Amino acid sequence: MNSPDQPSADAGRPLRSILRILVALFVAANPAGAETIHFKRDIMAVMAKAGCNTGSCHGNATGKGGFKISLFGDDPENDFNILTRDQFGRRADVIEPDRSLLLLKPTNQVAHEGGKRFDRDSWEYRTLRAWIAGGMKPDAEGSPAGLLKIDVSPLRQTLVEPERRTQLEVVATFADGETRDVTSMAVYQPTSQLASVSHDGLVEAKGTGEVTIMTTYLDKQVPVRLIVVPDRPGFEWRPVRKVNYVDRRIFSKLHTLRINASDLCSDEVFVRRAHLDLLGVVPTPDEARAFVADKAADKRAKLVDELLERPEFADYWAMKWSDVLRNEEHALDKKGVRVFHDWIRRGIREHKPLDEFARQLIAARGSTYRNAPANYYRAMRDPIMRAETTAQVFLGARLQCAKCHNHPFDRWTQDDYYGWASLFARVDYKVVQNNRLLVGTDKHEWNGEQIVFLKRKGSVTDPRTGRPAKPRFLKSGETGIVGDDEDPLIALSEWVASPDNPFFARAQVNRIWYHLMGRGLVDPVDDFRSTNLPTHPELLEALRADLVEHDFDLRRIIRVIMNSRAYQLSSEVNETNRDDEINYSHNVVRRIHAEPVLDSLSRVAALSLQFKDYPAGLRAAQLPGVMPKSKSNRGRTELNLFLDVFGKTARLVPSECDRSNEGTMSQAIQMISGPTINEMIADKDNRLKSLLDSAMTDAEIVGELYWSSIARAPTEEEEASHLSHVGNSASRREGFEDVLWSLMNSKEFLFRF
Amino acid sequence: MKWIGSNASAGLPTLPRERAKRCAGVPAFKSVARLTCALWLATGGIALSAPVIKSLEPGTVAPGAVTEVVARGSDLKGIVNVWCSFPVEVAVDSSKSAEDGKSASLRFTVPAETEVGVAAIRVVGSNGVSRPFLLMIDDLPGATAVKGNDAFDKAASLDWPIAIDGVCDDSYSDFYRFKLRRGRRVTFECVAQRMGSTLDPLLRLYDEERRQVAQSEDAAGLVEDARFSFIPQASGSYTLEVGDAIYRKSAANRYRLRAGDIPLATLPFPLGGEPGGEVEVRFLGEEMEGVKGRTISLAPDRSRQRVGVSREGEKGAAFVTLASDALPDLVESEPNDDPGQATRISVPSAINGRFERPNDRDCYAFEVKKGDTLAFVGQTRSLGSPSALFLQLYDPKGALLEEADVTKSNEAGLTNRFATDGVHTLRIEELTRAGGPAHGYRMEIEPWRPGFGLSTSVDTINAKAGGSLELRIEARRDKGFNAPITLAVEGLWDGATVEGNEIGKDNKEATLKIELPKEITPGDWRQIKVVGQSGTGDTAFKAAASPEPALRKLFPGMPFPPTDLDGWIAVGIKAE
Repeated sequence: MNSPDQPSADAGRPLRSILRILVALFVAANPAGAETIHFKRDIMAVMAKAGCNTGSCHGNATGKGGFKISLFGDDPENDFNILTRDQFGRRADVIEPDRSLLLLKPTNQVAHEGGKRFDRDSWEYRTLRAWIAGGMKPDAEGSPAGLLKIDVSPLRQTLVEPERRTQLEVVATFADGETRDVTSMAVYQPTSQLASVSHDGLVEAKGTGEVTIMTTYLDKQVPVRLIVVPDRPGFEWRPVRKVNYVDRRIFSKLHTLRINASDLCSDEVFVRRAHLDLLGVVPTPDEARAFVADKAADKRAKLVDELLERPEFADYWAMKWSDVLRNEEHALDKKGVRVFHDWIRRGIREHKPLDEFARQLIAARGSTYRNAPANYYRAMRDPIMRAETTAQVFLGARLQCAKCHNHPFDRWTQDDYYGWASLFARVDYKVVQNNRLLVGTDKHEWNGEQIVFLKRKGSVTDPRTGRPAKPRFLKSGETGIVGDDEDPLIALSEWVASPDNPFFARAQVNRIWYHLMGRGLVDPVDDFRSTNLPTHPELLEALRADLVEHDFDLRRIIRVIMNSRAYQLSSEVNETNRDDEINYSHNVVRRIHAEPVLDSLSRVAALSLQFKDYPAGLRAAQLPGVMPKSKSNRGRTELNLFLDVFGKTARLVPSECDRSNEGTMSQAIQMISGPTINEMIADKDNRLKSLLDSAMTDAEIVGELYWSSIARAPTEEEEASHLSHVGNSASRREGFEDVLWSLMNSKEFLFRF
Repeated sequence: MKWIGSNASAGLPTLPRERAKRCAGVPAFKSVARLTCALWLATGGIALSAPVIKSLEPGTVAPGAVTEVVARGSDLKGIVNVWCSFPVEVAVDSSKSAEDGKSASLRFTVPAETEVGVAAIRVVGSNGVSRPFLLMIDDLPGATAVKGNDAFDKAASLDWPIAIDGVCDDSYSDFYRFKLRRGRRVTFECVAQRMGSTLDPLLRLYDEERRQVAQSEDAAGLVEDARFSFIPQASGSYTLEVGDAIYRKSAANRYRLRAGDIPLATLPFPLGGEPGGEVEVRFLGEEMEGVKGRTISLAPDRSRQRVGVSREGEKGAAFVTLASDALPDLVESEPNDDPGQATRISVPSAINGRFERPNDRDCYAFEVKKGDTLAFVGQTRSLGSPSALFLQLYDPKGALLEEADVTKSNEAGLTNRFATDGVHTLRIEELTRAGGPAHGYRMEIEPWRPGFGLSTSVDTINAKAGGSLELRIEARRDKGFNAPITLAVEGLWDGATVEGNEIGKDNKEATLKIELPKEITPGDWRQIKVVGQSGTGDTAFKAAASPEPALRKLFPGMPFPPTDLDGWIAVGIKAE
């Protein structure tokens, strides 16, 4: 229905239009004799089923072909007026319903850019025709009964090849107790091309894997999870010892999927992996050797315990939090960044529970220098930004879509959005000082103390009504409305971090899981929605319950995950798990992030880093901020540029997704011939000096370089190759510089296995 | 230990082999050389003849004692006079002063009753008068400054109570080690920004295992200076790190570290009194055991006065600021959270109030006549309170009349012209609803009419006898005030003449040209005051020019430059 309406040959068209309206009004005023088709229940279902109200058709912000209705049927009242009154009601012909554009276009009887949407003998056609013929009546007050819920079966289905089909059934329950089979009326939207769904709910898989099918009828949505398992003739499940509940969930699903997990990783791999994950730096050669030599059965658990109490753990995990809390100098200034980073790091070091951490941030106010959490709000200068960030960081919900329309793929409505945003409307700033460094060039730069406070009044205006939105928690109904006399941020902080909050703990354990396993159980890690279901919902729930039960203890969850067999799996794949990327059947190899790369390089070279305007010896993971980019890149050094090249985030968005660990040509150039690497290798006081000055043999030096960089001994072949190279070099030093260079450039060094 | 990264920024990486030669960053090197050359040329031609104080060693004098102080800087030879902002005898020991003028030896004899705090000095020589420099009056015993204590392992060991001067110039931090006894409280205080230093101090205390056990920066009431009390859980050796909060190194990063049983006082209460009168105060703050109230005599000619606060019979005083103005002082009376409980006040007056607990609110009721215009000016941070104020004005029916704009940097204030007769209510809250022992405020309420403020970007001028000097005065006019402003210069020598002494109608500035008499001898100096006046009788408005812009540049870390210097401009006479 998206081409311009066709001109009619009827010369008496204006008269007919007036007649149509009069008839429509007459019939509408006399509903007793009409057929009972309800606009909200029946016609809206037709529009949805035919796809008329999607964003690519007439639900688009500008409509199509001069016909615009609400996106996904958000606004039935408006849609009713559009269909019955817009353009003098010329889209529907009450006298001759079959001549209505509303029927001619979707059946392709007249040109329609959107093509044929339904047949003349379909229920859609019959319903729409009957409604038009009945005079396009508005719904009577209180009629039809509202839709309470839809039940879809099956909700989860595992198909084992060659089985590829399953039939969905959808039953709607209305407020008056009536139930209806709406299978043919429901809309089915698979999240990938792995499956297709017929008009009447027959699902057909196109391959193996997992897909979610969003099933929608009117304003209710239910996601259906479909797993298609490949037929593996001769597959034999290899039982493994499960350490804890993580393993029980992971391996149970692998069994279902007919995937055998990889073996446990070696001690050499584990010690390096654990150091990188918890401290953000490779182990020293002595640490690595001592761990490998240790014969204790529980040495892996002990290592995790020990690393969790190291100060580097607080440094590294404070860096992760700083990324999502926008801890950067442009908005917070150098002092604010340091103060905020100190506070985050101290909280981690002192075992501050995650709920308390969140409460203090969300309820924060006061001087950004004296009360560090107040910096959380300093970077977010409007209520919308505060609302979206808080939902994303603490609840794992991306609300942005709901700003303009009810979220198409989730439960969030515009009421939710503006009510939530209103909670943050009273935040304001007293700018005690602003000594901008870039005078006049950037109004977003703040340099100097500010006091974050709450205005005594304030709300966000709902653009649909032009009235203030009542501040309220997400999906809390009337019970979650915050009164005028309440402090909205304190009330909000209590609600967010409450053990009963369905979103908070779940989002936090997912984030921890992501940092250790490389992929969130829900991924992206901060995008929980109906169409992005967790790969392991029971595991997510178990982790959530564990976090709540153990007082929101970050270390507790890290221990549970790292002590699991799932975490300790090797990266070596087998025939059954080669293609698996989401079920944790093997460790997923990934490039080390920027700061751990640089800190590990400096540790391998035994040289400390010197960042401009910071004390010598500060590690990259300890940097409080990011050194904002400016026109002149003022103050940026080669070390800052190295971090940029390796994907250090600018911290301008509150998401882990902003940090890149993709490989680029620039990174290769940095590693092959960049000044940082060259300086480290050529420095006369680096690790090579102490090794060459010692009484060690060349073979022992090669071994030392291997342990320091990749936490293992060289193989005989590797050792022989290196010794040969050193022997053929112009000098011993030069030969070992090349060995060091090759180790630093090896995948084994740059990647976490 | 080598540091990787420091050379890279200069574009001079030490690359191996051929790559190093190709990529040696020659353009960057040239630009550095050009910059160096330009700086040399820029500074080479300037003859700095007036004395300049760059440091004082020690940077403190003691009440009731004679203290030898070496002033370091330039052109300090032939000092003939030393001005201090507090009563003190100062003698110059020429025999110990350097021939090259880079140092002068000063002997301060400080009366025993002198209050602990920060004061200003200037030195006057035959080449003129110096710009002001701040020093501390300290009752704690002083230790000799140390060098080389720039790492934890190189910490300087000190016995306490003690105070020591330091500078974070070639290192980011200095380290000091103290023996502390289990259960015995000690306070560490770093006086830096209050002394005009550029250091934004950050104190961190570590135990013997190098675990951080305490930290302080931006302590309540001290703006950006640091102070904290610590009661050790175990006896032993503790190391205190003094550093800059944002890792700056500078010769101007001087500080005075104090260690003693210093009360964490922030405010006197009431916060002020009438000039020339007496006021009985108690002191607000934390860790205040053993601190008693005092009766303070207020100087007749000062708007601010420092007051030392110590535990009875103990050394180691904190220092606070007492305001002084001609308004009758009132003290809030709790409970006054609701308008119905409002403290009744007269106008004009100065209210002294406290936020004793979080969410405290103070209401004041006062009567006005229709057409009255009142100014409400709050003071908090400038007096040492950590509070920021939120003000609302209500009419007799309880309707909101006006709310102060609290988003700007100034201390909160508002002006209102009243449209009805009757009892109105001023409601005062802490901006963030904070409260506690350190939170207090002073609210001055007085009739208002449009006027002006004057400022100059000069605090010190040196000129030859018989010569002339120019002084630019800027006016900030209130809305509705556009009358001419006549300027007068007070404190000049007899025979001096002043031209250009009017800021015309609607104009915003004037340049005074002052001709000095020939009879003045080099080494003579005066503190002058430029006073603007407009109108006569009831319509007269008068204000002195403030050198605050100059003082802010001289003391960039101080949000409120020393009031001892406000309103005054030093004029020195230099030799031919």
